[in-house]
Amino acid sequence: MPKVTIEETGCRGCTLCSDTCPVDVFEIDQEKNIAHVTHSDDCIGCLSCFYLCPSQCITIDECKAIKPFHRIEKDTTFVEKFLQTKTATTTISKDELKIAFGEIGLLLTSFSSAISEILGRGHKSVGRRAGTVAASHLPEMYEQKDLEALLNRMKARFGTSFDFEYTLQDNSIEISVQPCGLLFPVTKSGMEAGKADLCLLFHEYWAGLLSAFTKKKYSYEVKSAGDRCTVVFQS
Amino acid sequence: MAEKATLSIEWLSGCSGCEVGIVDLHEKLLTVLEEIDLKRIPILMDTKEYIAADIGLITGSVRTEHDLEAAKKMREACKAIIAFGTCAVFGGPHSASYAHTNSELLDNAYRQNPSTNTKDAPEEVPQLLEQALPLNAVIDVDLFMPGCPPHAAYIFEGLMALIRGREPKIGRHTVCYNCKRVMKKTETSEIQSMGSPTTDHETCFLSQGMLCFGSVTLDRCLAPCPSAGTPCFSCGGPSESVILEPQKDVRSEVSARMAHLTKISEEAIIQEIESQAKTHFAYAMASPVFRQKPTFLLKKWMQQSAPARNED
Amino acid sequence: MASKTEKINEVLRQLRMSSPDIFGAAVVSLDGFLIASNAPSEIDEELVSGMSAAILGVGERISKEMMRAPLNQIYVKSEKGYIILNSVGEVGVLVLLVTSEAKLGLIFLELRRIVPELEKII
Repeated sequence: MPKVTIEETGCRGCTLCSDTCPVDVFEIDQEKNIAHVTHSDDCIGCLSCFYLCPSQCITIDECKAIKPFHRIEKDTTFVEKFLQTKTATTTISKDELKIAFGEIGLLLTSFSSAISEILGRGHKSVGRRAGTVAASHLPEMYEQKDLEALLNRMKARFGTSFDFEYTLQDNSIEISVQPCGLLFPVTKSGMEAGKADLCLLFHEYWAGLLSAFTKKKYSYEVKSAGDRCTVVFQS
Repeated sequence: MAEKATLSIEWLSGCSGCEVGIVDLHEKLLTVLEEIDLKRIPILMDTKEYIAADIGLITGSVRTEHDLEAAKKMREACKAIIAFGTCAVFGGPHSASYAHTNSELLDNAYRQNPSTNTKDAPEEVPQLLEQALPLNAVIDVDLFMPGCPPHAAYIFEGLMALIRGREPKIGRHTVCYNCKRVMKKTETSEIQSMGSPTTDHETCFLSQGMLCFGSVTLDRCLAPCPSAGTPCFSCGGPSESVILEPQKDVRSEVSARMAHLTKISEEAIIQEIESQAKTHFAYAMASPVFRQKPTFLLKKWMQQSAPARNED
Repeated sequence: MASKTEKINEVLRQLRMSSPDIFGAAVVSLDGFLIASNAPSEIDEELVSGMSAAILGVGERISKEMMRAPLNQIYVKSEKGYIILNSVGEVGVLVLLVTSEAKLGLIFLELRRIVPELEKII
């Protein structure tokens, strides 16, 4: 059961914790204008108070926190060096990551098959648009001064799931990856690499990304697929 | 008695405020010196070579070619490196090089500065890198101690823990933790400008409708500014949750708290922060912590607020 | 020799001249590019191209599933008029914006003439 504690010297009396808590763990001491933990046993471990507290003076122990696979791993090690201790939620094992990866893979293959089933050949535009939308979430990419710098930055950013190599030639970029992070979910759901809906969407997604970053229009051609995928993007 | 640990200090692009921060240890400096042998301190001794030491303490950000070389030499010479002060940890105010190009900055500082009579930027000094970099962008760092400068209490605790090989008790609290102002719900319905005459010195700035960044700033300072009547402007760099959680941002965190305490809408607060983004993110915008945040669109915000600035 | 885009633009211009009720025309590719446009106002070309390609795709799918027949044409009636989508060969979509007073028969007749012309160019 989660155990909530509050360091009262740090409490400024903002009432965010007591107003937000879904199960009324906190009570406000009107006289001293601070919050007390009165019903710690009721805590469901939603961590709302933990994040909202302006002083960050609420701790929640014995609570299995959300697995941080959405975090940038580098930032976690960064913060550990501030405090010289482990941050609360870094205990994610390799096996757990594998399971998470498999589940996301299933979700992705189902999404992509449904998109293709409903939209028919219109599905290409969805992949392309996804690239444009994703690009707006990666402001760092727009700062790169040339194509090479951009591709190196993308390598650093996507390397863990999509460790690609590139070669540049006139107006074309050849991207090859061995193997693609999507190969596992694709082959596991019995589809053929390079022809699966997910692969098509992903290629379009990449064309969308590149087009957004470089403000040029890219089309592409798949040279090989499987253990080694090679795609040539042409502007 | 065991042999003393050795300490070597180097300053890169900074203001020497961090060195003053160390002097602020006052008599505790004597306690530190009992256990530490100070090998190199450029603010006091003119030393050019990089002396081998147990601890290397580096202040300032990597802004010039010289900084780059000095940082690498320090790494080679020292067993452990401390990035000391906000500049070394996050890039500090030199992060302006993210918002503007070097030539724009040099124009304003040297070529078209009404208060100086220089015509051109000096050339005989080490040249600027394209952008300011935090220390860990160029070398491995073992301990980060942000703050502008870090308060002596934290410096003492950090150094002692490092020498004795224990975990320092410095915590993940924000500036609010040590601020004595009282947060309360008010009827304030409009954002107030800083230093308005009606300011109440007992009540939290957020309650009074004034932007204060204490709740998103890691406490390495013991909250001197709000105690003296000025809102926190985040010189200590972002708090743990802003660094770690991709969806948590300075804007969303401050606006959620302020909107809870006042009658001002979250949108209005976010808009206000964006319109002054260059000021509020000034100390840490060179850091990948912000640069990689999907919600950090500084250049867009600058463009949006540009026309308004021209009308002034 | 005029480029592909110029030729398509010329066809679109003639199309708009042919009837005052046609107030916009564009050709987009199926992967979401705007090839040529003669539209009245600023549009997010990539988004509109994407949506046109998607709606055509849905049309083709539903026509096949429910009628067991290939798609001829899609039109969307809005309060201000009609948006007519027609596939152009394998790779493109012709999008027409038509006022609500328009005689659709005449527009369709014009389309039957113009689509093969566009197919030839593309």
